[in-house]
Amino acid sequence: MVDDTFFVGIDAGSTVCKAIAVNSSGILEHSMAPILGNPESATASCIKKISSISKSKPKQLKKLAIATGLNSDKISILKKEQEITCIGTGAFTLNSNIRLVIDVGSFSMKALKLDNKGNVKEFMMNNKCAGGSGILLELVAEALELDISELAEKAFESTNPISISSQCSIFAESEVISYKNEGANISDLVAGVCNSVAGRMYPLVRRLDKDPKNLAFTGGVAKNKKIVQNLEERLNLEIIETGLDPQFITAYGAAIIAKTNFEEYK
Amino acid sequence: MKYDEFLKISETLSNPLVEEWKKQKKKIIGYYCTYVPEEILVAAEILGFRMRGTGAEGTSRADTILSRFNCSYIRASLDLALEGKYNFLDGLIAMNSCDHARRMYDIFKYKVVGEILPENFPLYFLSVPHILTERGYNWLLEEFEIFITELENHFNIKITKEDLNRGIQILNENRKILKEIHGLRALDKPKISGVDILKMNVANSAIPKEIANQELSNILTNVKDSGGNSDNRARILLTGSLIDNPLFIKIIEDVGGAVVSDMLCFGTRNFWDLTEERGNPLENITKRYYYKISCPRMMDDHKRRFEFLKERIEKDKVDGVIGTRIEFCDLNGVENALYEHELENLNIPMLTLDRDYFLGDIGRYKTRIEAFIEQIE
Amino acid sequence: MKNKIIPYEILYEALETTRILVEGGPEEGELLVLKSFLKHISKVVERYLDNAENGIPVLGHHFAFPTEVFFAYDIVPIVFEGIPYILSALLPEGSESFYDLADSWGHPYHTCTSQKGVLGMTLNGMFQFDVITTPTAPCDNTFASYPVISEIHKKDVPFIIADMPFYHDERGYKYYGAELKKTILDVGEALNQEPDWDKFKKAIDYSNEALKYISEINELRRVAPCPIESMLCPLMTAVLAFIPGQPERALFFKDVLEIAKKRAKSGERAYPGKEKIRSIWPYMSIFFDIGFCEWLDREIGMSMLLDIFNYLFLEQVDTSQDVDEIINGVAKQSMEYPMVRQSQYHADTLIEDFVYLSKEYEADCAIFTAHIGCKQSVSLIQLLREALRDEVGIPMLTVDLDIGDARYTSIQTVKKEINNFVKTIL
Repeated sequence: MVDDTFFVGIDAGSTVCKAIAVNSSGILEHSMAPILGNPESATASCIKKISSISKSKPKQLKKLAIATGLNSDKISILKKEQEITCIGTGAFTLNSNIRLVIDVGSFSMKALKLDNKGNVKEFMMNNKCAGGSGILLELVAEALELDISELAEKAFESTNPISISSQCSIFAESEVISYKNEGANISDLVAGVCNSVAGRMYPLVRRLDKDPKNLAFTGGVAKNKKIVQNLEERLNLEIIETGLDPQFITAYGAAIIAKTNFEEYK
Repeated sequence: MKYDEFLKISETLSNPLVEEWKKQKKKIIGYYCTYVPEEILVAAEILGFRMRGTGAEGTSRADTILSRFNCSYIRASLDLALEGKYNFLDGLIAMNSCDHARRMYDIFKYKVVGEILPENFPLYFLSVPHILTERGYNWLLEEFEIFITELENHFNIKITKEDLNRGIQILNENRKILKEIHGLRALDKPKISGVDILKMNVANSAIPKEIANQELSNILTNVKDSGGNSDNRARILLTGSLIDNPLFIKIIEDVGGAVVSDMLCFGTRNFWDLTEERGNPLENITKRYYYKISCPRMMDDHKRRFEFLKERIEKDKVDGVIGTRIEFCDLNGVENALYEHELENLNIPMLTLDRDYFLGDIGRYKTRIEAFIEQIE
Repeated sequence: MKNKIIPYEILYEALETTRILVEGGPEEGELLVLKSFLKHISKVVERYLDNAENGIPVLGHHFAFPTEVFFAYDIVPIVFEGIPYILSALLPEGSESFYDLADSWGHPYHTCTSQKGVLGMTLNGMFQFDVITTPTAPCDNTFASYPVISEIHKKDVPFIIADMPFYHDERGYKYYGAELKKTILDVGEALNQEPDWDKFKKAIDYSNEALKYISEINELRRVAPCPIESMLCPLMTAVLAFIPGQPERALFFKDVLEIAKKRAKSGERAYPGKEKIRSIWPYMSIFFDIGFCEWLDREIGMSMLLDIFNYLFLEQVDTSQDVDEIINGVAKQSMEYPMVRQSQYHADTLIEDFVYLSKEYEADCAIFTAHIGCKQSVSLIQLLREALRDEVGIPMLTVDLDIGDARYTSIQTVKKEINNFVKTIL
């Protein structure tokens, strides 16, 4: 018998809202909408997209949805779950070998450690400062007139990355612009920026685990393969691929929690 | 050695002379602060190596342990240690210099020794008083005595009075030459730039003192005969937090400021005072370190430091003072602020700046320094 | 004559306002510890104000000195580090304007606000000290702030410093004993008073009595649920600073002990609801929000069992000995005083103390307030985290903030981080 109950996970981050729907047979659909100052309407638009694909009523979906992320407290109608828990659940459900996760979004960087049941044992966040997060990549891409998705490819062309030392994203951006004005090679510059982001991630992971293993990398920044590679080199390990777009793992975790809650309730 | 070759020693962490020393199976000990008695190290035929951040590309490893409220120079030096770049050391001396540097004793103990450096790597700590009293002097003398015994026991050596006297002679010669070279930078037509002076002081801190003395006296002879250069917009004295990278001085000199004097621990503060050569050597050494031109860590000695500053301003014909603090350096931050108020009363312009050990975007420093030079020109 | 301790006038008013609010507000039987605190501290502050007005000299000193040693003289003792933080708790704008004054003088933004506040008050002409004295401990802020305060204040005010060594051994205690004795005598000379050693002993007796109650209170804090409200942590810090060597010190802790005993007997907490989490704070509580600890107890069900100022590794000083021996005993106390003990020494003490206390008190987690002013303590956060993880098996949350300035990290952010931590892990 096919169970056609849908569970939705909503990850209302700082800039983009991500939603994913699952049922007993797996992931059904996902959608994305920019927040643009209004998390409620971004969520509504995500749910609407999912509803049209899954042929379920939005009202029905909302009842079984769980929201998480920086902006989730502004979505009044949905149940909430801790973001760290969602990241952990999402990653662990996709691959139960995962014991560490680093998540980098536009403004935040989080690392968490899981036990062998997928429960979060400890986590670390970069509080107060967005240095080294996705926003740096956005600022740099803009300054260099590149699309953010082109950065990794550019960086791989570099033979001599320029080291970017400013810790603050704003100072780092102006450091990049100065180098550019001095005529620095763009690939070297982009590679330097990617390395500096990986350099900011490294201590977060190491603070949780002296000898890190079984690490997944989630969040929008994980799409940048240069950062992935540099982090692997620094930590001397191979990052576990989950098979799901890294930007959706938090939403996926929320959906899984919605499903589990429902099953337990039943 | 050629002039450039000597200065180049400052650009890398280790250097060929360190490698040569290691080949001879001789020992090298790192130290963080100018209150560490180098005479004792020379007496023990140990190469004292001042800890630096040279060559660090970031502080990713160090940030695993330290906080973002910690000094970036300290984090850079720790990053190098965690990378294994300080593995040429045979020991480390830390002391209660400042809150950032003194914790390096702990961090090395818990996170470097036994993991990156061997289990038996010795760590020394000196508790140096923070005020000038007779009791404090006696305490420090005892600290130095204990330190000598610890060195003797660990390295299985004997440090005699003659050894200490030899240490004093070598160090005094070193300081006299550096002081004479300082005179050449402070001439009306400076014969040597602030950038080169810093490189020289840094190189001097990383090589055997006997060799440094030969090289520095050659440099002194050559520079003496060279013509000076009065082509500058303002004569600057630089003070504040530690600087081991000439880039910051280069920014000043590139916009027309000649750094003709300083009050830095890779500068005058390290070489100005000599050690008395007659009498009990260890007492003389203690007196030298206790009563030398102090660092803001000495709590009751600001007046004497200010007198020294005024003397340098006058004798070195300084037009303006630049005081920097590495972000989160409480000691130099407050010292600079005090100078700023005191110099204001004397109508001597002063610029205070906070900086990161890694300067990052140099544009923002350049703009402010240029404006300052324009103001005093 | 203008009052020489204007910030204490502000404090007195703030205490009275708070007292009226507290007396009139909650149900009978609530906020008992706070009520006792307000009663006793108001009395002491009032006494200080009267004494200052009557021309008794004002002695400004560092918290690392036990004030008792200066009770050999007639003085009004002002502990620098106390006043900015108690005002940050009691006034809506806290001590912000004083910090801003110090900043605009040129003091770096990252120095410790506990002393920067007094610098601001001094710049504002609100304090007129007759003597200022401090040991060279426990951090750079002391070296950075005290000389400036004494410099700005008035050139002819004696500034007396006792050198505190780094080692907590017989050699260190002996050296510091001599330094402390010299300081006491120098203070007398500066005030033109002969030491009255009987008064000095009596002050120590009061603090000895308080110490006895404190250890009994701390024994009761082991009980689950903890019978004492989290708020005792910041209040105890305040009492140690504001009520030295006087009957009120012992009376306050006696009150607390009785309250705790009663609750422990019936298995009660200070607030309704269950104790869900037992937490230990290896640094300090937060001062800039007076309701914060109540929020922990009420909303989160978290007991703040101890912070760095609440477990005293101190031995009582036997006052039947010679004066010199008593001074040596107090010198040792001063070096083992909370925060001085952990800050003015290698990392081992901080780590061993909190590993021990976390085990003894069966803490579920630790929360480290990473205070921007305290460079030496933030250097040790990761070492401590690993020790608590490996040896006790508990997680530690770190929050970057300024414990005396709401503007650096807001209370909403602090609460949010604690909430995230609690909901995710515990």
